[in-house]
Amino acid sequence: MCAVATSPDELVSAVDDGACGIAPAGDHRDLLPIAGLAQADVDIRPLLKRRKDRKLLPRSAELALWAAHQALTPDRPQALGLLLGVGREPPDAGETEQALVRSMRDGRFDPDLLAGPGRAAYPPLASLRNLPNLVLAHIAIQLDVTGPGGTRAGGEAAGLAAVVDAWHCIGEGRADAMLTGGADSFVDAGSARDQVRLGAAGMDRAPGEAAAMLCLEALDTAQARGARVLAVLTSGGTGVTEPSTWRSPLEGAIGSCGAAAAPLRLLEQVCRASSGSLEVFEDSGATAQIAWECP
Amino acid sequence: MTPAAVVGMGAFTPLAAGVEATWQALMQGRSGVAPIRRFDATRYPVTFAAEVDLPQTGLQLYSALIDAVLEEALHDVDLSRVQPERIGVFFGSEAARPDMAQLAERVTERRPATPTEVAGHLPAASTLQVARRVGARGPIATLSTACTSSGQAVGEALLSIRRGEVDVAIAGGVDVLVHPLMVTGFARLGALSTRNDDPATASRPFDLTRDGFVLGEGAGVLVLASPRVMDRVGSLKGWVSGYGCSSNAWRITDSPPDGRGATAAMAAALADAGRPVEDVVYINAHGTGTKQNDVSEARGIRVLLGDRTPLVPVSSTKSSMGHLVAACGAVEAIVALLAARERMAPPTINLDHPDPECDVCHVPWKPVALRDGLALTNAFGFGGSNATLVLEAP
Repeated sequence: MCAVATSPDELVSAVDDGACGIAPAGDHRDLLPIAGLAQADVDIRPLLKRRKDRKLLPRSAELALWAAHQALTPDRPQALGLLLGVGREPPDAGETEQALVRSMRDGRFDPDLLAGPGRAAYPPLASLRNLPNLVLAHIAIQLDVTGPGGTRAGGEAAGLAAVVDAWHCIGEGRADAMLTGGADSFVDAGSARDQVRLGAAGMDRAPGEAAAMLCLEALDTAQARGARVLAVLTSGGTGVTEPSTWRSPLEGAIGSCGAAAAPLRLLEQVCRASSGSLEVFEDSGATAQIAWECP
Repeated sequence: MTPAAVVGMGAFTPLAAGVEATWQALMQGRSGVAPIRRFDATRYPVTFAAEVDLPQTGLQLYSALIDAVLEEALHDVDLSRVQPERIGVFFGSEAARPDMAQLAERVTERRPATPTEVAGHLPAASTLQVARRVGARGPIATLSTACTSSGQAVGEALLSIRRGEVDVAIAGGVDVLVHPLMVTGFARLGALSTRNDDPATASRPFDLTRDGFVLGEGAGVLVLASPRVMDRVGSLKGWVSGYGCSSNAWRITDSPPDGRGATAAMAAALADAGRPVEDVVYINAHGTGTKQNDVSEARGIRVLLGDRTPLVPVSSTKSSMGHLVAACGAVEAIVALLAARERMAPPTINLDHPDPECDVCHVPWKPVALRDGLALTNAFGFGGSNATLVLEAP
């Protein structure tokens, strides 16, 4: 799920057609020196077990849930784990700002007011909604995923690192199948500002949002149940190197998508039946790499 | 499955600075819970927490905790004999909480955060600080699964060593929860104990009168080494033998009543260690002191142990040091290792009237002797992630 596609096949078509999902920044325009925003169009309400679950879902969890539904076929593997990469914890939807505004006296922060009206303005669910592992938690709950898993937090390498770890999980016999990928959203004002401060967005880079999910399974198990094999992962690893910047080949179409960018690129290449490898670097020096072969 | 050698340990907790001092405080049944000192919480619904004794605040506190535990863990470890590409870092942490006064100033004056401020608050900032401090060039990972974070970090470090990716792994976690917004948020959820009149008795895992968990802060780190190189880098302090994890797929805050996620994680850890349940002599429970989740964990333990339930002591050291959230897994792994090594189970303090629904072999107030065997430590997080580690004496 991203600004130009709601499915892997749509992504391939959009890239081939030269589609661009970057649009003017709207209300943020006067505040941010950015080229625009690349916002996805998603309605996950039909996918939820209970409609009221939506109020707890941060944006990146909505995107990831949409993508996860597509990655699982009706005859999904039963013993399934879940490993996700996220670039940052889901952004605060203005709750902190509300609390702070109510805690100001004569233009200065007053801790006593935070204890009173400031605290009253902080919604009870805010503490939970902004936990980094909420994306994983919501997918596990909605899709009944009970196997091993976790959340890898980082930058552009985090999503691919999660895919590599999921691959190891299967290879080491800790799971028969793993749902894995990355999800990130930077299109709200606070996240977009942070991206600008980090140098990840500006007049030549647009904050975006996306989620890419893959279902990995032991090859012999997948073949035995007659599953369609799109690619075989052949190697993968993570490490630390000198700080450097990686820009996704898809960025011109969908903006900067953090931890989702590399898994999305992997997905696009697999959908084209194109064997290859992918290496991702972060400004921090963290790196992840993976190689695959398509039948 | 091959275990990983523990050649270094460091901890900074609300009880004390250092592993040995923390252990002694646990064995003496002391409490690190007291009225909040870092900010004026007298008008908050919860006025107490488990704070560390350090003067720093904000990002500086995170850095100070990491520096302190690394210094202790590495003081008799020689990393110069390992190639940097063969050293990995696996750290559990969440986003650092902002300094409120600075944040308020930025928001109201629309003054943008600097790149350093933004990057410094990201979950991966702590991991990168550790990597730079030790000169690691091998795999690094930041695990952000709330209360399970550093337990998973230690587990992933074990897996990376087994896989042959690294010879040495620095594994741990850090968290600072004693923050106005954290106290506010969790109190509004009804998750925190409100025993403001007697904070030292507030953390009461498995007790009939428990009313929630106590926010805490701290850091813990273990230096793990492949058995192939352990003699080169340090002295053996114990083993991490197994790791198991699972997801509840149930609710965001609550664990399933039958404890199935807990059982799955513990069983997976023992299977990973290649050891039978009969070898388990102690369980360091997650035991936060919340009504439902203590019951869920106790049921999960009973399913795992079966007839052996009355024979295996179970205690929660959160009764003494509060809930360190992202750091609890690593700190309590150290506690479990010491329990196995010293053959003594630390007590659950404040356990005056065990809840009949939490029917396991409790250790109320006084430590008990253990026989030789395996110690398990559990970490179960908000969102439903579960992790269990298996620890052994040298």
